[in-house]
Amino acid sequence: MDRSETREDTQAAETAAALARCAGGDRLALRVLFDNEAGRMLAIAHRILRRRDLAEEIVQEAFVRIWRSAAAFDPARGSPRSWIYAIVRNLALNAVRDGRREILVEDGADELDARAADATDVLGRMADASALRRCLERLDDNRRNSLMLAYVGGFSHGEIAGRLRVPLGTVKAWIRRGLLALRECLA
Amino acid sequence: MSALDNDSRALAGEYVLGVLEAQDREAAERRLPTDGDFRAAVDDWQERLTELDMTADPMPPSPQLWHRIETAVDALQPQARPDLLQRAGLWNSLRFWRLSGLASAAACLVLAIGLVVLSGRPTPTPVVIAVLEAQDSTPGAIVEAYADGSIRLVPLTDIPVPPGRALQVWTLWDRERGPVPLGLLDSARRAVLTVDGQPVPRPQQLYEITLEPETGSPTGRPTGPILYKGLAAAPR
Repeated sequence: MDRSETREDTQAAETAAALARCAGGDRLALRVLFDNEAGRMLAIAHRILRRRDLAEEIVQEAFVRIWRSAAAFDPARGSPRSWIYAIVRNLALNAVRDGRREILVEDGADELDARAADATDVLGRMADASALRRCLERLDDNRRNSLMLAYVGGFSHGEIAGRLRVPLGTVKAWIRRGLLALRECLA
Repeated sequence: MSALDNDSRALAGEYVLGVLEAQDREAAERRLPTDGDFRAAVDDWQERLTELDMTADPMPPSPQLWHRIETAVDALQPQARPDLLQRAGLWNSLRFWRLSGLASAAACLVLAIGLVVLSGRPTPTPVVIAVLEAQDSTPGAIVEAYADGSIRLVPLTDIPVPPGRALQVWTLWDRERGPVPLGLLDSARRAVLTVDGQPVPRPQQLYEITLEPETGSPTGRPTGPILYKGLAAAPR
């Protein structure tokens, strides 16, 4: 295990402890969460929103929500990080659905390109030993790209169809079959 | 362990990806609290795909961000304290609930019996009934909970719902598990909410209505303010 992984582990443990303390109303714990997670939360929101100011707005909303809902976090259902990042992703996706982003972003094509580039770049950044990476690499390109655009870039079925110039039904099928193949490979 | 078919497995993944249309997303959210296999599939996808989130290079937050969060959390304090109490303390404070539950139970029996008599339904008797009250004890709605897991919600007052928001009904039957959603309403109206797989409702079970985004709480737990809440009692 290299140094960065050890550091990640330490941070993950700190995040878990801080979340539990937030549930008890400990404001210092919220600051620990911020120091550990705000940077990545910002990056996750930015992958979807492509605007720093909007991404910061979403992270702010996410921290308020974390603070209010910390007691409802259920460790039996998953890790604190996956809970926290799901909150950020969902808030960012809601902002996209509300059209908050569209109003502010005029250069649509460039923005989509940037989101797509981020999404397809992710695979190369995953650990060599990652089972998820291995399984994603086994998928055919269309399925893999569609999944990455959806999860990482927050693209809708329609946006992916437009971008890849294929019918909506084709994208839906790629994603669906991609998910099932991925699950089988990971099982 | 998982008895899910491929449709449900794919649906769980699509839900986590965020590609479902509003209606399907809501349907998936309604399914979460009652379908353990489906919930496990969603949790599994969420956990797996977090690895993709981990590839994001942290961006340095602007110097003002923490300050803005603190301000937002401070602004929450007058409500958030009781809010926290409700989450951590009130949910757990049996003594509090017994007291307020007794008061509610008395009120609810009168109201509910009147209601059942008036409606004249030959339908099954609810196992428990709860009157949900606002913080100032104004009754806001009645919940009749039936042995088959369905509940009947009857509003007693107009509940204003801002645009883009919805009312979500919850119950807490297991503190370990936390509140589970029973249904989403766009306005305060009579509704029968059917939720499969619930244990038979019991006296002292908590019911509440929170204000949530119109597609329901994104976390599967109450995130918005609690508008009305109350403890169930068995009708005599």
